[in-house]
Amino acid sequence: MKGIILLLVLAVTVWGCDAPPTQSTSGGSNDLSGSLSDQSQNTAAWPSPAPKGKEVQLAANVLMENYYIVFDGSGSMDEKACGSNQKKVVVGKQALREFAKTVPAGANLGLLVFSRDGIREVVPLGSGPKNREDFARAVENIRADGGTPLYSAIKLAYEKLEEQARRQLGYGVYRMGVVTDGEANSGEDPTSIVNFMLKNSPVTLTTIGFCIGEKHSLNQPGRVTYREARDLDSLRQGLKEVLAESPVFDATVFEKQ
Amino acid sequence: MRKFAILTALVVCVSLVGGTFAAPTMKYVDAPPLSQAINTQVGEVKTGSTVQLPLITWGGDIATIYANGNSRATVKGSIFEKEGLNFKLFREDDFKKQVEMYMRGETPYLRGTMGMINMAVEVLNRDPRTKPVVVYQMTESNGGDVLVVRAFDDKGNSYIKTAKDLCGKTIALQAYGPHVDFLSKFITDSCGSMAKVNLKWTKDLTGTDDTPAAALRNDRKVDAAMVIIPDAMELTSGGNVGTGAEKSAKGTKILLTTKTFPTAIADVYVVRADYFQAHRAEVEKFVHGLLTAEESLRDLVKNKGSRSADYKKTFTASAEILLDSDKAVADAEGLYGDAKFVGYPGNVKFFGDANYLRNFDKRTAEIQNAFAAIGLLSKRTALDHAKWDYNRLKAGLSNVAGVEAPKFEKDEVAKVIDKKQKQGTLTEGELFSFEVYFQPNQNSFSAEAYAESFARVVDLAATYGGAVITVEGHSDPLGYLKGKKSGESDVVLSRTRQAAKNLSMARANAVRDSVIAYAKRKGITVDASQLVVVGHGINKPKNGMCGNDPCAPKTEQEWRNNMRVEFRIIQIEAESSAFKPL
Repeated sequence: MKGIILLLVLAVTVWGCDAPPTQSTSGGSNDLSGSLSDQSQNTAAWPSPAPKGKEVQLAANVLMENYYIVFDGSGSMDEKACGSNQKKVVVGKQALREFAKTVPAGANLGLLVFSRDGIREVVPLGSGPKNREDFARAVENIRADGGTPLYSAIKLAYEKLEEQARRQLGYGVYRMGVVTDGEANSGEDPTSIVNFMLKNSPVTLTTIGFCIGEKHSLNQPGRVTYREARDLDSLRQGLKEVLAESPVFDATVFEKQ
Repeated sequence: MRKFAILTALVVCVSLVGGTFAAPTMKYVDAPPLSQAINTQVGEVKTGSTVQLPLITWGGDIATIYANGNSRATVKGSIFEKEGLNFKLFREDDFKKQVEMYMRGETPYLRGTMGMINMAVEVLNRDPRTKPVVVYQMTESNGGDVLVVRAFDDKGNSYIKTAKDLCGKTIALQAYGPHVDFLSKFITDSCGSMAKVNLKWTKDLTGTDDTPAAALRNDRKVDAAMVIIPDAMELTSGGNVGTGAEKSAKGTKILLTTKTFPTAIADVYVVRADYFQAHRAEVEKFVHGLLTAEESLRDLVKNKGSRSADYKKTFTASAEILLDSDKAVADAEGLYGDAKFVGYPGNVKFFGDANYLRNFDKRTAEIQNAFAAIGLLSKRTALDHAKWDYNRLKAGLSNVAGVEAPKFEKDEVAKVIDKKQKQGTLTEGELFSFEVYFQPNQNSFSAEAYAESFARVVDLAATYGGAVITVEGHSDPLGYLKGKKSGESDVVLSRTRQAAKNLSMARANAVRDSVIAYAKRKGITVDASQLVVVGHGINKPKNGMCGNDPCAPKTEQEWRNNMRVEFRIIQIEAESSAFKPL
């Protein structure tokens, strides 16, 4: 963990003012300031330039869709879901397996898990049969135990998506799905990174949560798509939201705005 | 770098010795058609064992010296001697004098650029004996010839930023010099006709007080000048913005070089029609010797480390013959670097490929039209070329395939353009831009519907082969604005915005593919690496941004104006990583 924090601090130093916010120390503050309605989203300069020495090769298809899942493998996920007889981790794993089957074959899929083993990207963004097999295997191996470093995990996932965006020059689709019960460790309140990401990038966030209240940054009506995951059907529906297609059309008649 | 580096140095010395110096009053010259300026009696070509062969101070002529055995007189064992030729080389940079010698019959050959030859075509066609026959394309200029402009006025305000800003302005250039066709093509592309600019002719090209560079420095009424690269570097304080110190001109900047416009200046050899008829086989051997020498010299330069003695001999001889000093080896190397030999494939393409947009016939027509517009020619006059059997000429040559590699590193150039887009500096270095429009939800762009625009893109791509052409898609912001007004959630707005960006990119891609397909159908090869796509989404509407959102179009026309794909021709010479090494 210390290593990750050190890396993040270093990254912030290198990136300067365009960098994501540093780790929250507010101990679970529910500050949701910086709503997009007050201050319009500005993603024109996204992604930020690659740090020196981390330049990337361009993707063959810059319009690729990217789906990145953050899975909460903390100890609290080993408990029964609210209003359900099943353990949250069991429900989550089952839904992820099905989700992987519905992701378009040509799209990139990645998985990051935090658990007793720390925060680990277990499947890097990729496509093709091997990627999907790796995803299924990684899901199978998830064991719920350990803390809930939500801030660090979401930040790392965001960095992975931004790195992919550099390969795609910012074109394409960037979706993050977070499966969690939202109970963050002290100092790991994800509010600042969630708000930074929503304001400065086109990454959209879908939370598949287990009884997470509307005061949580991962459940901001209008800004974060939140789906309650108390049972498998509900969770499946939530994951489908991650894949929701964007409106792609021009207005066909002129109307004065 | 054309001509007289040494003279330039002398002028610098004189200026320094002179101490405080007032800007000299510029003396311009008239440039009547050469048919009025030359009244030389035509004579028979003097025949004998030795033929006089003209050179001019240009890197391409180093191959001619090399072919002659690094000597003015043909050396035994040299390429020309092996072809059975015997020449006496002489340098004559005053083109008018060279034409006079040619007409008198002192030499059957004329050495110049396509522009210079076309300037003389009327006077040479007066007598059937001196009708010019172009027999060989030696080189294209590769960065050594430059258009410098006043980018900023005295108050530091932007003055000439892109090509169209030159229309109506005053430009200095050398009379009968090598830059007339360069400028005429660029101005025709920018303003429609050479008649749309005012020209000030100078006597010299460089090295004296009667040059285009001196005009830009000393005459505030001159807005731009055609110069050679050393003068351009001086004027612009080392290729930046001229500070006004030393020999720079305040506020000046390089707008265009022959690196970006690599087909601006074709250097050629011409032979008299009567001599060609009587000595066709000999002239063919001369051309074959030049082709052989060009290949052999290229090999020598490539292996100069292991062949240092031969290399030194060639460049010392070239310095002595072209620059009057065997010590000026570095200048001779500079001359060589500014010339791009077209070789056998280039000659086949230039004279024989009807689909090549910069071929002999097209360039002749373009040059003569432009010259007629400024009174250098009274009418279009036929110019012949040798119509060689290139299968015969390929004997003994190794580079005959003519396969052209992409000019740009695809990824690097995409990153350069992406960076410029994010910094909002895509218009910096812009030479030309124009737009095509589309209908709502249109995602295909047929060549039939956009033929005129696509033809222009293909022509500009061929002409400005060192420039990048961006194909920039834009999306209609009305859907987003409607959503915002009706209270759509931030999630939906964010997705809509990104979808618009992707859509604009997809449209730009479709247009690019359509342009390439259009060119292919016309039999024209386009370097795909030169066309770079950009998707602006809704971030660059015609009616501007209001904060981070596009301003709402007020009329249907404003709305329709946003649905466009923009083509921008950008000079990116400063980004050397984007260019593939030659």
